[in-house]
Amino acid sequence: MNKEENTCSEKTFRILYEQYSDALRNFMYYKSKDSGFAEDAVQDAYVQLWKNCVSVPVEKARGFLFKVLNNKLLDRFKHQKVQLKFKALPVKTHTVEDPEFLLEEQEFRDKLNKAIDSLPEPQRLVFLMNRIDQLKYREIAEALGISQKAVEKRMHKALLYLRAQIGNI
Amino acid sequence: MKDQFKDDTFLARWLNNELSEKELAEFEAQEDFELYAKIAQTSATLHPPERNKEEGWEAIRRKAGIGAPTPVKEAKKRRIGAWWAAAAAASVLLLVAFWALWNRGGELEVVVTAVAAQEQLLLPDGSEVWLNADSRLTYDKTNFLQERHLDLSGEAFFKVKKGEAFVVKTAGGNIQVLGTSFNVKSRATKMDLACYTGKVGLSFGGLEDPELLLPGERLMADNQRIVQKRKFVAQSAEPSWTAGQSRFVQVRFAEVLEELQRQYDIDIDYPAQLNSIRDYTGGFPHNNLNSALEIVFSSIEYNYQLEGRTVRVFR
Repeated sequence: MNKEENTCSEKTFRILYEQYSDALRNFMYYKSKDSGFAEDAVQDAYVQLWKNCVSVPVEKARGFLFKVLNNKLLDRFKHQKVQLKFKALPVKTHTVEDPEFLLEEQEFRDKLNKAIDSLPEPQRLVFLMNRIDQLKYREIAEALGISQKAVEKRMHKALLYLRAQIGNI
Repeated sequence: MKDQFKDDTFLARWLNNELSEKELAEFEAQEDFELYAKIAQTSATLHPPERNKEEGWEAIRRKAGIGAPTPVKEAKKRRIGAWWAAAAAASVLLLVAFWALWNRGGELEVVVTAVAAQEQLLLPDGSEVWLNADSRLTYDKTNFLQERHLDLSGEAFFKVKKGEAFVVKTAGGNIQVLGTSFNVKSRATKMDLACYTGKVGLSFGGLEDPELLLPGERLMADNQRIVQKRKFVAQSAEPSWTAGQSRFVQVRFAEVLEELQRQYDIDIDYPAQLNSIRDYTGGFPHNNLNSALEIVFSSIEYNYQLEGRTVRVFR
């Protein structure tokens, strides 16, 4: 695809949606813990992008979307404490794993969920964006407006924290 | 919180496979390495709440005023004066709209193989898939002929019928082909792609040109980054696992152990120093656990003991 291209073609726009919308929605979810709000915000951000498509080249689109979303978060009031809810990936349908093993796995997941939820927000964001959305450190840095080094430090800290939490329970 | 690591980004670099071999080996020998690995692994399988991507897209189109909602074909101009023709046209339109709506929802086909199981299937377009153990393949049954898209996690071998683009989406990148046969193994962040016939394109996030693979070429990537690309010599027209055995050429030994566990539904308890074997070539059959274990462990001059579903490995 041409690097100079802006985002005004429907096809390009659609590709940008397919590529980034999940990670953007999740980002908003990690921040707000409200999936309805997150979904609406992402839709608005894409509408913004479409309206400004002439001035946003393709390779700047993700940065643009994150910026719009960050602004939305600033506008939003401090919200009540809600727990992040994660579902495990659907597990294999016809396994014959022994129940004790499954129970241990489930316990581990529960512990991990709790530990993640109690991570300080800056670390939690970086950790989830990398582990779940598979964003690269550089991409996370861009989205959060911090240096890549800072992202790596947060990631390191997050793992130390999780390991300590899980080890202690 | 005690920190046994030498700098404050060590774990971040570990997750990104940026450690040197020496650093990695030292870390892997540490007592809590297993726990870190488990945290990394389990966290990648957590899923935030589901979202309906298609609905989101339609909402954006509506709000931004992009195009028509669905490309429903317009009925031909009706003849003026014949009300029944108008009624018929309207009902045709309605039918088309209904059909389009019905079709758009599609019917998702999900094929999942358990540990120690394989599956062979025929796709609606006549392409064939072999799905290896502990893998998952999803596609839209109804719309498959219009859009040959599949989601894969795990390992599969595809023989693709010639036609429009055939796209396999994996966590490690998207693979696009026209008509060819190829094997893909996508586990966690790693991806191992081998082209048997035809031409295979692999694309990662971002909009760069896809990486092309020709027959006899194999590409390994991690975290959507190419680790290496090299030639391989195919023993037959299909990968060996479709014929009941696993073969490995110059892989980490840990990968062999993972595959053993996957094929036989066993747990292998092995000393950490085995992780330092990074250039292993060998294989094992899928139909005989004892000979598989014998072949694998005698090749590295280790002993093993099988108790129930657990294998203990020792020198």
